[in-house]
Amino acid sequence: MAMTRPLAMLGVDLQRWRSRLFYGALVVALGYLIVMPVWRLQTLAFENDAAGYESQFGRPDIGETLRTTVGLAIASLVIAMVLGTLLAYATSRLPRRVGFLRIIPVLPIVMPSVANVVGWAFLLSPGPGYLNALMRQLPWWDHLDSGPVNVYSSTWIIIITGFGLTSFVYLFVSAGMQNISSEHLEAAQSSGSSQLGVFFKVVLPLLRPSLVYGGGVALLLGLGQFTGPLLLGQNEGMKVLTTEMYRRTSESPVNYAAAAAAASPLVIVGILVVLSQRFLLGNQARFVTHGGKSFAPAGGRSYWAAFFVGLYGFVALVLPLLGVLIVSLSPYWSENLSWDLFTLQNYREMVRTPGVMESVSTSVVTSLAAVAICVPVGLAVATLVVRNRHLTVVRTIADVITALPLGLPAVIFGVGFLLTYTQPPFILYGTKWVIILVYIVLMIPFATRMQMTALISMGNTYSEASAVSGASPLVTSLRVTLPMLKPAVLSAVALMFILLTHEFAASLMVRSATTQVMGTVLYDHWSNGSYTLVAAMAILMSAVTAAGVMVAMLVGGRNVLDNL
Amino acid sequence: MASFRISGLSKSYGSNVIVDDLDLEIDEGEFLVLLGPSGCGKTTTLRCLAGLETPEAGRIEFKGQAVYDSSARLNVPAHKRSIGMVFQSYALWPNMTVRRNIAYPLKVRKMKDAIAAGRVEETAEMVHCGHLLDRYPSQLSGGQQQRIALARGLSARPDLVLFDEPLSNLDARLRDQVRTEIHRLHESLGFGAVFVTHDQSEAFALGDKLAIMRAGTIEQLGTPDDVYNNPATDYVADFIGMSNRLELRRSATGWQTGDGVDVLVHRDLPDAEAVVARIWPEDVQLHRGNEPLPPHAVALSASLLSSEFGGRHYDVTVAAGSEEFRLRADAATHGSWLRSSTAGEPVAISFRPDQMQVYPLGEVAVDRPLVAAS
Amino acid sequence: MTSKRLAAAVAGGLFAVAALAGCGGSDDAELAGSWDEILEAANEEGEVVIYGTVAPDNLELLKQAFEKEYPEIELTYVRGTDADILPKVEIENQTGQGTADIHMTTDAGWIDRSLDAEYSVEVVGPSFDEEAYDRDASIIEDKWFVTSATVFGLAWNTEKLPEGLADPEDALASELAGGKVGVTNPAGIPTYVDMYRKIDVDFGENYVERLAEIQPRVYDSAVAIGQALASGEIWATPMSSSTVLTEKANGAPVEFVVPEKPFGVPWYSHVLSSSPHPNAAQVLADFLVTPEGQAAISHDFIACLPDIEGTGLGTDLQAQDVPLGDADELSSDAVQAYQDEWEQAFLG
Repeated sequence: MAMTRPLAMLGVDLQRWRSRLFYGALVVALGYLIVMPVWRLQTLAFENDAAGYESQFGRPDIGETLRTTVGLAIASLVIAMVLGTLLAYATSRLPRRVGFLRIIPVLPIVMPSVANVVGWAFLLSPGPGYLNALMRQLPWWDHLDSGPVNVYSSTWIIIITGFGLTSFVYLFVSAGMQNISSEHLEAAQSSGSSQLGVFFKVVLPLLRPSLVYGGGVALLLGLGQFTGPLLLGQNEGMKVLTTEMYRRTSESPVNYAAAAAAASPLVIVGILVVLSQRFLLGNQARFVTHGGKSFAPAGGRSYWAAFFVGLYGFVALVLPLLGVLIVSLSPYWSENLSWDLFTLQNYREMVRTPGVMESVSTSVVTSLAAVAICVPVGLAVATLVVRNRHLTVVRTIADVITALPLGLPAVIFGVGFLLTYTQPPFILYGTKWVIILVYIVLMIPFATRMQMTALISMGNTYSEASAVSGASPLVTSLRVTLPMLKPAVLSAVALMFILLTHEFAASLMVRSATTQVMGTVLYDHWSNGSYTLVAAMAILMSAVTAAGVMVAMLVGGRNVLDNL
Repeated sequence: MASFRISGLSKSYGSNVIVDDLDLEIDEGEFLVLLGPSGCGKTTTLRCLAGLETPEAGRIEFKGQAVYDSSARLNVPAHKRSIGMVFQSYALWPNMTVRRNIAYPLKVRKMKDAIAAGRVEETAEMVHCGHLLDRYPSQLSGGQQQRIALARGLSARPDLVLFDEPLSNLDARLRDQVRTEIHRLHESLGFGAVFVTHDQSEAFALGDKLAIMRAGTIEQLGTPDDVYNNPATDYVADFIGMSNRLELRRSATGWQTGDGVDVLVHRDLPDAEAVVARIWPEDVQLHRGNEPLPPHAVALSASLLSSEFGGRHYDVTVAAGSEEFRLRADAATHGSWLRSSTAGEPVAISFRPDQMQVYPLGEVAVDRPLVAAS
Repeated sequence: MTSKRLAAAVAGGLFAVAALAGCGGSDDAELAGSWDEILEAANEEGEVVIYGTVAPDNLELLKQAFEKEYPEIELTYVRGTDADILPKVEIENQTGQGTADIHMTTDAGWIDRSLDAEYSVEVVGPSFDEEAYDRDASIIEDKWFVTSATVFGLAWNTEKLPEGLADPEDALASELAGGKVGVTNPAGIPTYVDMYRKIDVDFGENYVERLAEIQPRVYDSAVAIGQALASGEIWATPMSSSTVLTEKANGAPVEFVVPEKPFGVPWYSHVLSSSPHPNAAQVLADFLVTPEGQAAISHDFIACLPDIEGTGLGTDLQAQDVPLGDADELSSDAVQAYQDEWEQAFLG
């Protein structure tokens, strides 16, 4: 006894300090990775008497740029909120037989945004856009030789952006919808409300919290929109803050300070939203329902719901994909289609084009590497936040830091990383590492939140049961915690892989000429006007993502995507 | 000999004191029940014993060996204490079969011989679940799950088994069955046990010894018989279900009720001006309005509030003055008129003075505990 | 506690990143002594990277020709606009993490500024001293060598506009107003600034202003304009690169003519001091000014050597005859000022 006592005492203290030290180090590392690039960027904007602000905000068109940025964000937000809410309501009312349609509103996330945007360009370009050509067959438009829709106009960029944001709003709203039991709806219906009445009088008020939250996220995403404005906006000179940042980094010499200045409004809004979410929602744990009873979906009988969801799927997914597919099979992009012109030449060409296949492997390798690092880091942060309430300061910092990348547009991290990692002490420019690192940063919020939710809903009891059975913490985590988290981890892996193989905005900034990912190579060919090659690449990107999803489903079961 | 000893145990969350300088002993093979309302510190005490919670002060000994000692800054982690534990939510690992769940404590304690000797199957048989070994927990009913959890807690034959309200998630019938099973297993295996519950019938049925807790301290420690017949305080009496309550004031001759009925009090209470008496519902007799009242009994006139059929008896509530009384009326004697009675009908109640427990009024349960109905 | 081990593994990973960063970069390759030694060292290096604003088809031709001549050296090309490439060259120079070995540009201002900033090394290949190349007229400070040249011309889609363009004025026809004419955005590309200034005089009075009035569609590069012409997205352009001739040869319905007073610009190339393959870089630089190299890189452009098949656009011009822009007029500030002005006119 005399022997064991001091030894055990030492053990207690050591253990406590070890965990404190470990989590401290983790938070410092994450801080360096996430906060440092943004911080360096922003301080740069203030250097030389705020020359960056002078250069960016002294531009004659800055007023227009700001107006466009805000206008794009708000208008696309409205579209996304309306569509997303309606979709969430419609999927909850789907007839049982077509219940599989429930997956449709999430699918646009699986489609690469660059592929989506070029798909719309192929459909709605005023000249050779296929849909425009079709519409010109209509009697009241047959006098036109271009149009009627101009995809390069800001109106249509907004509409396409809104379509893209719809899935995100849907995710939040449908999660909120889960908490409305079908009895609520049936009670309202049995007291004489129409479907529409139920929607406005019962569903919308109950959804308010998730609408506010989802709307906040969609607003941030809208403010940070990059792909649409960059790819479609160049023809008519549409400028938003993110494309301005890109332009400032493709000047000679690179004007980091001005790019940083352009980022400032977005950084401020992003931080405000992240912090206010923390204040408003407080402890995340309160918002996770603890297992047990869940409200089974009603299984409605509304065929209009099936029609609406189907229509959305057709417009948001099938149409752009079709546009891309047709161009990828045509010798050149032209409104005149004929079956005998269809060829696989573009795909052969694509395989031969230098850089394309390398970009596929770079995308896959960097995405997998980032995911491989994100999962354990996310688990560590989730454990810190959920299971280590005594480390008050450290866990709050970790919580906020890991939420930050969700609040800031990827472009900002891209520019920040370009700045930070082209300078000592870590010169990583031109290596895959800088891409991996920026990918880690972009995905940390997902890795953390999804595992946090899983940990919270799992509760402490399972690991306590293991401890009192005589299992050490290590054995507990290997034999109980990790196996039980497997579904959540697999979902997180699938989601992160999808998002990363699509990644475009940040990649465009940190890529070097020979270290490229699929999205950036596609963009280069888009800039060169090699439309058929672009189309083939968009198909390739979608195929790579689909392959990733299929692997995830093979490993994790069919419902991997349900957990989104 | 005390096999497990808790002394001076204290634990608080912030300014909220949960366990307050608690002393407790559990003899080898003894079944101790910690009884009390939620928030009284019983679960925290249990978790301190398990090593899942770190106390702030005190000492815990297992068989003479300290597993926690604040002065020596010693805290043996949960997995190094020889315990088994059964949780309210079962906490069966959903990713493992029943067999692997039960075998887990043996495996992680490297008790290969026991596994080889068929301990897993044997323990499963004990809880009548031998046929479920290859199922997953999600394929079992609640009662089966809790039996498996019990088997898991026992499979390594720990010195001490901790039960954290294991029956409260089960419905009434299952609860009785599993309770009986726990009792039988304890008889046959002879493990030391600490059982946390807020249900007094569980406590009386299972405990060799009951500790009724209040605000982090032990209000009364004794055998079920002892506690039932002599609740130490008004709080204990109230909590264990001695629900009838009668306030008495000192009169010139002795004690009387608010309505002026004289009551003979056996307990000597020299300083008190007012006292409260407690009577078990089973001890209260019901009389129809015109019936003669028994001699030497405390008799109060009352009016009928309600009566509920309970098989061989009726659960009757009456109002006597400002107090409400609950009692059990024999169906054979009272059934016929109770069935046709209406609320407000005049009745009388009586009980023997020696069936009363009397406490000074000052200690009336200030924080009248919420007795969960489940 | 649960994830501590895993996270420890991550921390290890992050350290690995740090370590990798510390020792990143290429081992300092050095230029060998004699040309034969350079050739040998280049074969050993085995690869060479060129950045260029020239058309991708020409770079592909160059790759094939070069790898045929030097089968042990693999050529990788990166095609982009000056806006894409110049920042990359600068960053590579600044970080010492070179990717490119040779860089080819038309930006006179940048060429001028680079001479003060140690971007380039001197070229040593024997072909620069060939009489046909005319070293004195072709090389700036032994570093920048003229490689090729282009003239911008009038081009149209023959299906949409069968009558074609004869004169720059034709591109301003009212029937082409509202997005049927394509122009290049000079943002980040000083060469285009130079072009706009020149054609504003040479194509007719206030040509640029009048061009802006018909609201043309804006593209990032001349290459993109060629593709848009081929697809029928635009019908005509007064500033097409001669590369639409390549599209025409591929069967696209396009036509190209050089106007009376064309705007032309020469490509200059240099070997980068951050080059990770300094020997292969010299070999490629040398190859660029050989007849084989010229036939590839100057195909449908103007060569820097006389009598090269498939070059010259039907003229006798040589790249040396096309003057490089005035560096003073193409200083960063001047370019920026013009770009702002341009955006007001075309995108405002």
